[in-house]
Formats: sequence, structure tokens, C-alpha cells
Amino acid sequence: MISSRSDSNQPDDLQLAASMAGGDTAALRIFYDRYASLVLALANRILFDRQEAEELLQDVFLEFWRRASAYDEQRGSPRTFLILLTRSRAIDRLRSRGGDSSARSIDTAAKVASPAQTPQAYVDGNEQASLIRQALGALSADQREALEAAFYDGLSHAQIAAKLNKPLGTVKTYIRQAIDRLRDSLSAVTDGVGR
Amino acid sequence: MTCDEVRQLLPGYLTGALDAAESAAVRAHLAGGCPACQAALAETQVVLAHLPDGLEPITPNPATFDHLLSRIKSVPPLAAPPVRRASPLRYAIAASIGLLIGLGVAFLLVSQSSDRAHQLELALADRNSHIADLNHLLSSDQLHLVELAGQEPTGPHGHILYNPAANQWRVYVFDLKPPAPGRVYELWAITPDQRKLPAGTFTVDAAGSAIYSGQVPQGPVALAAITDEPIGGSSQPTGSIHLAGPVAVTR
Repeated sequence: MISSRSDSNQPDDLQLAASMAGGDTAALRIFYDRYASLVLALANRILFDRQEAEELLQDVFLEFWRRASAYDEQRGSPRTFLILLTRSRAIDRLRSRGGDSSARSIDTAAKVASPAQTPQAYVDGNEQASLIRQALGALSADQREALEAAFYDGLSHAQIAAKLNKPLGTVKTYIRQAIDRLRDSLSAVTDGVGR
Repeated sequence: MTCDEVRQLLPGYLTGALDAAESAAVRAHLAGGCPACQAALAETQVVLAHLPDGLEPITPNPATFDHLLSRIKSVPPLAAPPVRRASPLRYAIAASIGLLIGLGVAFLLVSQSSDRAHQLELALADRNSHIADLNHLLSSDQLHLVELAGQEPTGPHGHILYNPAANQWRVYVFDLKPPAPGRVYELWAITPDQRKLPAGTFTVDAAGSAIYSGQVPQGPVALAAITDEPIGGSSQPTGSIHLAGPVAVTR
């Protein structure tokens, strides 16, 4: 599995979610320490605003805390839920600003640290992170741009097609191929893509 | 839409990149319970959730957690049943019980004020009405559970307890944002030949939850859906679809 981190001496994410449901702020602290830097990086990547990203960081953990008792394992692991919740809330904020986010997405994405551009910077770190960075770096530029425009910028297929100047069907194929390649890369060092 | 076509579109479905028709088709396919596509959906979610691993982590401001804690002190977790998933039916019933407990608390709070007897009577009548409705539904041996899903896995969700013999249903929704000013949520019964029959309007509380009971429009129902509409409701859906689920019961 590539899901919840589970060091031998640390409670896993499901145990932490259960403790949080009971009002245990110590469990929240562990969960926060485990994922806050990842959540903040994601929020900052979508919003390009550190202060707003910090606000969103609070909002997301607060929402997770409030919903811990109703957490539904079938809707994804706590980690998956947290990350997709962050992405969803950040995209909501992005859209509430108005303006043309598509103009920003393709042009500025390359300014964010790109695994293909700075491979050595990504050698260290945990295995999954390194793996994802390598796998992203192995995608074609079109595949990576299409996937990142959909995930980080919340663009529709039609918007991505217009920005990349590619047919709509080609964009869908790029994204599907990118997901398949990432899944295969993750599965190669695990017992399957878990939740 | 075939399973291959659905799987091709799953990343776009999860990121909101599909057009409305594609999104509705994928949602309908998934709501139909295709296990292979459900598994593919879960797998795609996991892959997407690992994308941020490619970013450089950013250490939060040390004060952020303290701010979070101070906010948490004023916002305790919701009532704490086990984290492990209960069955959808038990979940819906638990929501009803939660509502009844809430009404009981309201009863106690109201009863502390002797000059608010009228409110107390209303709370009691409301509670008794909910109990009667629930008893009637649960006593049926033809009770069906309809799962309502939105577009995003972390978004709104819900269930319908549906008694075709009594032609009644009871709708539970969660995490649905309060409707925009001047709008309400409207429930629709969609027939196999795609007629959209209005089935009542409702709104949600601050937490995004609602329980709504009503009569099911006459005739076979293939799909239940919830849209946002102007206050008073519409005769045909005009707003966005927030939740939908297959009914698949022949009356």
C-alpha cells in the first residue's frame, strides 16, 4: 500500500482520525505535523499566495477535525481525503477570485519547481515523493502540463485544449496516459496503488 | 457510456474538467454500482492525491497550529460515532437519531425558559412528527436505500430511504453548501423516459445537512437528483445538479 504512513511507533492515519473524532488534539498535532507541509505546498501551488495558503491550511485541518467523526473510509484514506479536500477548497478560492485562471496556469506552471528541471533537488526525501517526482519528470511535457492544468488550476478539458493548442480528445488522452504512468510507477515499488 | 469510456474520463471527472454531459454520464455509470469502475475511481483518486508529493514541502508558520487550536476550541468535532464506516442505512438512521437528540436538547434548552412554552410545544410536535415518519418508513418491508453522490469525493453526499409501497421517501444530505441567497434546493424524481418531476424544496443548516420527507411523484422513478432553484422551486430543473443517485425500483 502507498497510503497512510504507519511508522511502528506512530499511530496510523485511521487511528488518528478516530482519536480526533473523540476530541483528541494531540492526535490532531501528529496528523498536522505529518501533512501540514504537504497541504501548504499544495495550497500555495494552486493559490500562489502564501498568506492565503496558510489560511487555507487552517481551514482544511479545521474541516477535517470537524468531520473526523463522520469520516468515511470508503471515500478514501485520511491522506487522500485531506489532499483532495485541500485541492477542492483551494480551487474554490481560486474561482471566487474571478479572472482567467487558465492564462496563469500554463504560463506560470513552469515557474514552480518542476521535477524535470531540478532532479537533484528531489533525490532526497521519502520514497514515495521521490518516486512521484521521477515519474512526473518522465512524462512528456504535454502530458505533465495537461495533468497539472487540470489538477492544480482546475481547468476544463476544453480550456486546456485551447491553451495547449491541441485537440480536445488529445488532451483527454494526455491526462489519462499521465495518470496511468504515475499509477504504474507507484505500483512498481508497492503492492498496488492503495487508498 | 461503456466502462472503457468512463475510465478514460475518470481523471477529468475527479478534477471537474468534464463538460456537463460527460460528467452526468460518468456519475450515472458510477451510481449504477459498476464495481470495476468504482475501483478505478478509487485508484485514480489515490494517484491524484499523490501529485503534490512532486512539490517541495513548505513548512508552515509555527503560529498557524496555535491559531488552528484556538479555532478548534470554539468548534468541537461533530458527534463522535466510530470512524469506521457504518452501513448507509445505519448512517441514515443515525442521522435521524441525531436529529431527534438535537430536538431533545432543544427541548431541554427551551424548557429552561418557562415563558417559551409555545416553542417547546412546537419542538415536541416536530420531534413526534419525525419519529412517526421514521417509524412508518422503517416498519416497511419494502424499504430501499438510494445513495446520492456529487461530483467530488470530498463534496456533498446523501441517502434516500424510499418506501415505494407508501409512495414516500426521506432524504438525508450532508456537506451541501447553503444555497445562494434567493435559492433553495429542489428534489427531482426522474422517470425512465427522462421526465423530471418536482418532488419538493428544502434548504440546509449551517453544517450543510438536511432531512426532508415527502411524497414521491406518481409513476416509475429511475433517478433522484437535487438541483438549486429559485425560492418556491421550478417546474423543470434550471440549476446545477448537486447530488444524484439511481433509484432502480419498479413500483
